[in-house]
Amino acid sequence: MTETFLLWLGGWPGALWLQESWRAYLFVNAAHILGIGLLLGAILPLDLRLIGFMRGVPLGTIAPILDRTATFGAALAIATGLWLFTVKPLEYAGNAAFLAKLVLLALAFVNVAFQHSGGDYRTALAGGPVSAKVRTVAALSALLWLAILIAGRWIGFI
Amino acid sequence: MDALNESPDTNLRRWRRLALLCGAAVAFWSGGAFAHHGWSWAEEEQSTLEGTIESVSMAPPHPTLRVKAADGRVWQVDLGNPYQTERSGFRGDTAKPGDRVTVLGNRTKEPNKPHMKAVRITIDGKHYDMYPERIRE
Repeated sequence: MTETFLLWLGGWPGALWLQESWRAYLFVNAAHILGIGLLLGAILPLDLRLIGFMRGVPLGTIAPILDRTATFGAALAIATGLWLFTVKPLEYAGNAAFLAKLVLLALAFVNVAFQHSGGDYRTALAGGPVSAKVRTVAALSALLWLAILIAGRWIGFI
Repeated sequence: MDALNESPDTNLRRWRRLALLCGAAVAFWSGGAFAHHGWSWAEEEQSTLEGTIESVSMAPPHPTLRVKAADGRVWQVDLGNPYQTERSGFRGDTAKPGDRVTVLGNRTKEPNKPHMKAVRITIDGKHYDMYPERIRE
């Protein structure tokens, strides 16, 4: 049944278009990279600031900007990533690096939810102390997103 | 509390340590033998593979053939990138499953893995040159 679904995915017009036109593929691929760039380019400085680097920079000022940039990047990367997946769904579904990336992504999003749960994050943004929880979760976030980046790149080398 | 009294020196040292760590991580990851692009993952020597096409995929990022060879194994044959493949004259409808194909190219260095990168494929007497500059006959 999964296979039927994957085959059906590979047949939607968006997939057919990218299968036939490598130029179209190139643009979607570039948009995926842009999404990744915005996401990691925003989340890493935010995590580093939360961990304790660059303490001179007020969290209340940079956190909302970096947060929004990372959210936008994630949305773009996920939308284009799903689209790229449908170009070769059966192949990617059997690719260990791709599956590892999915698991890591799930963990990363649980981590985001955990960071925003409770009042610690809001307190830190309001200029209060950065709790051990916030710092630990931020460090985990940086590691997870870097691992996702590597897993994603690994897909092409299996 | 201690954090507020940190000297710029401590901060700088922390940054250096972080940069060093990142550098080490990159060196570690790139040191591996994996490489899909380029040729370093494949044998220097070119070889020929003859077989029957099982499937043709033109989908980016890498057009590939699956070729059942005389050794009984199904080989993954990477063609050029989509543009190079197109330029070679090979299209999705040039070959179909069941067609005989001769592949000239470089086999992976990984032992017992039926995987190679084609510089030229020949179907029905016609050459499709993916990497004309690399062909050594």
